[in-house]
Amino acid sequence: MRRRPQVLLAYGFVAWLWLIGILTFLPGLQIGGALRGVVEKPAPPEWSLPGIIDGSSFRAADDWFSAHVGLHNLWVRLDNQVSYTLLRESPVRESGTRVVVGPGDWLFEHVYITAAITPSQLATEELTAMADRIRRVQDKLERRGTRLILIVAPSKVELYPEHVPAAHFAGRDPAAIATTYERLRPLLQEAGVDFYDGPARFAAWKAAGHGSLFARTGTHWSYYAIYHVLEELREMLNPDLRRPIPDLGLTSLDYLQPQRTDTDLHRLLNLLLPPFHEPIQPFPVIRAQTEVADADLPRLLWVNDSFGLGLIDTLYRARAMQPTDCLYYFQNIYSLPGFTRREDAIGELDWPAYIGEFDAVVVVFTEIAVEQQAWGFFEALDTALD
Amino acid sequence: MVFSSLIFLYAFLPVFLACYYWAPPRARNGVALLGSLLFYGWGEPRFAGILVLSGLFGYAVSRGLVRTTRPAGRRALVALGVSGHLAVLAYFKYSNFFVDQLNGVLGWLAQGSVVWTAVALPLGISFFTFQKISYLVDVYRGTSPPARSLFDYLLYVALFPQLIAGPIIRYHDVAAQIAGREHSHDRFLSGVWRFSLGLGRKVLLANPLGAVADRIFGQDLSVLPAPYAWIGLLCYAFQIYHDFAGYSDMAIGLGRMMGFEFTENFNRPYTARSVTEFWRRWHISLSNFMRDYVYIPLGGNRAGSARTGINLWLVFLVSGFWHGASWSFVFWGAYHGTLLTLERLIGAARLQRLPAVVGVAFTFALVTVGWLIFRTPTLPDAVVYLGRLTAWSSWNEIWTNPAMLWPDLVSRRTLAVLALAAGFSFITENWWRRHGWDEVLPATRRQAVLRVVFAALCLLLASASLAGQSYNPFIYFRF
Repeated sequence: MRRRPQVLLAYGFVAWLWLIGILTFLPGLQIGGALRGVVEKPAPPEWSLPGIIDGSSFRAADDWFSAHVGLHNLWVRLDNQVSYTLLRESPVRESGTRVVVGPGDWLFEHVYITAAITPSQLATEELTAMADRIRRVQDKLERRGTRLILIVAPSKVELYPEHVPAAHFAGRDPAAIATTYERLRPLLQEAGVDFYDGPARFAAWKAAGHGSLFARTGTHWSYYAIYHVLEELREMLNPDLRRPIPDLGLTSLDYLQPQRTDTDLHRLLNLLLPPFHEPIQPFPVIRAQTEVADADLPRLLWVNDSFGLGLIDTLYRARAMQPTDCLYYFQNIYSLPGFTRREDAIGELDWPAYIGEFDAVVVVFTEIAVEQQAWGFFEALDTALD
Repeated sequence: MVFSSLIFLYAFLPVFLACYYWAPPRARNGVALLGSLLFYGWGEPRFAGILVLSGLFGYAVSRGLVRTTRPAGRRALVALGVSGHLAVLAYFKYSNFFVDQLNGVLGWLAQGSVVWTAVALPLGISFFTFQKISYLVDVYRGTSPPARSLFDYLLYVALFPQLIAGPIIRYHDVAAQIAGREHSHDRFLSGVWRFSLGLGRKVLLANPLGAVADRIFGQDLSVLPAPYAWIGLLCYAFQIYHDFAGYSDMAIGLGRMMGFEFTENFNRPYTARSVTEFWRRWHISLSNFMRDYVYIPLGGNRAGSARTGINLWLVFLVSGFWHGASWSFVFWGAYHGTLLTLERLIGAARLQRLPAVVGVAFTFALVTVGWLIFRTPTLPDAVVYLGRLTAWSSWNEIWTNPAMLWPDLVSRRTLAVLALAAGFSFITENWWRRHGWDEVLPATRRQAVLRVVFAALCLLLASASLAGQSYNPFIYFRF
């Protein structure tokens, strides 16, 4: 090689290293767009003598640097794009949400696939006790004039197993495997628990030819499905509510590219190139109602996972409930609308007084999360409302 | 610090290279030594003290050797120096193991146990200890000149490209380079090419294979289905090669960027047609060390075939124990010692008459069984694992444990990387030579361009992979 290109390449290499190094400390110059998904970013290292001696400061610096390295987001997208383009896969990560790419770019959360083919291991006695506890809580709340409704959200994998890459089922048929929820369902009915059976309702809608219950690129029920769930929820709740949920005011269905939570798995792929083809799907256009005054709207306490967020969002778009609280995963209290985290801790709540503020308690979780028993909510209430 | 980290690539290396080349030539060794101590001290600064203190000891003994002329005195000094270095290694690397063994025996005799605080292992101690021993013995034998100064000696011991994972460099190979070396753009670029190649091998091949091997070896081995057992073992066989050889490539590449030329450490070992040949190609600097400082002093092959066999066996026992303080490594060494002894009995010429494909496949199979002993915590585990390789009925067990589904454990990316790693490992020496890839500098313009493209690709994809590993997002927060 001639000398001039050699000099250019040698300087180019060192300049490249410097560029990336400098960009690390200039977060404003990051290119590649913000990455989607939630991570806990490592804190900047604290340089203290004990930290230096025991090496913890150095390890913190390593972690911080890796998470902030220049062009970080571009690197991550490049890595993902290579896997996606060449292998139709998202990289297997140490932790976080793993996305499985199915034929036709149907995306699934890996945890749902595992759940769909894992037989329930709980003893029937435990399931019965679970159902009985929910019933007890339901009765205790009812005596205080508060309605409890449990909404079990369906799993996309259980609803659309035909779009999951067959290898991930390893020869198993999800329909032939009794999951914990499928075993709990008759026990809930037997115990007289008032619950919304999302998996059964969605299966019936699918059988009746309803499309677009889940977007290909999302993990949650679609906005179209949410609207129908809320309609059925109104029918179940309103007869018992002092302040009923008003009409949701559907004006039309717009056919659009998937939006908001309907693209959450696609966004989580964090690809470099523009999105792949996403078929359009119906979105309910909802008019905010003005007939019912604010004070006459219901106040609902939400205890939910991310499936509840779409319900909440739609209710506020329709102006169909009062500002309220959300006990997200029963870990922290958030004020709605706005989803602002409050300082007070769930453990410090005076339950009898607190519950009295609400017309109903809406508990939402996915069918795969049944064994978590609403993250301890029913147990806490069962004890607190004695 | 390790080479395959973003902080090394984009913080340490650019700053170091800038300081190194901005410094006047006379001061470059100083920059190299300072950079090396910072590199080594990063993460565990107290171990840099051990490196320097043991270096001072080694240098003092070597000065004693230079001043002493009486043979008995020189013998005593070299014995002191080697024992001192071995004692440091024994304390940091083997004391936990020996105390565990002792407590096992005491427990068996119902005699209580020795109270012991576990000792942390300084990074690279096995490598730099052997390097210091080689220096002392070479100075004693007169095959190496003594270092001109303590500074030169410390630079030889601590030079960061080879400090953590070799190659184990002999002082006489680098003495002249420490005194003065050529810095040129083409050598620098050759170093960049070699470093990038090594980075690619480590990050793009070894790391993903290692992750799969770790998961498979971490399962309950007694019920491990055969397909996983095979995949796990193959992943490990190619991981350990590309990990170690990749690191050596990076070391050689970084050395070239600084004007040094280190000895090669790997020469396509999986293309060997016998285990004897494998050891001429695998971790060459360790094999040379063992030959010169253990095998030949034991008598080598000069005292009959029985003694040669025993010597070989002893050398590999020592080599196995050098790899780690565990019985697995000792058994691994014994296994290779036995194979080499058997090959000597059969005769190397006979083995070479086998068709190349058969020889390579058979050697690879034998070496891979050795990796099984190396990787599993105990010998019984290795035997169990070996049994699982032929448990064909175990295919059904995959269906009963959904946590072990194929796509979870072995993604398409893994299979692609495994195929790539295998292909890369079995490219013959002739092919490399014919196309000039073995040369320090590219022979043709086409190859120069290919090297630039390949190096850029490795650097970009490895950076992407390293950054990707640091981003494990959850779909929604639930903290």
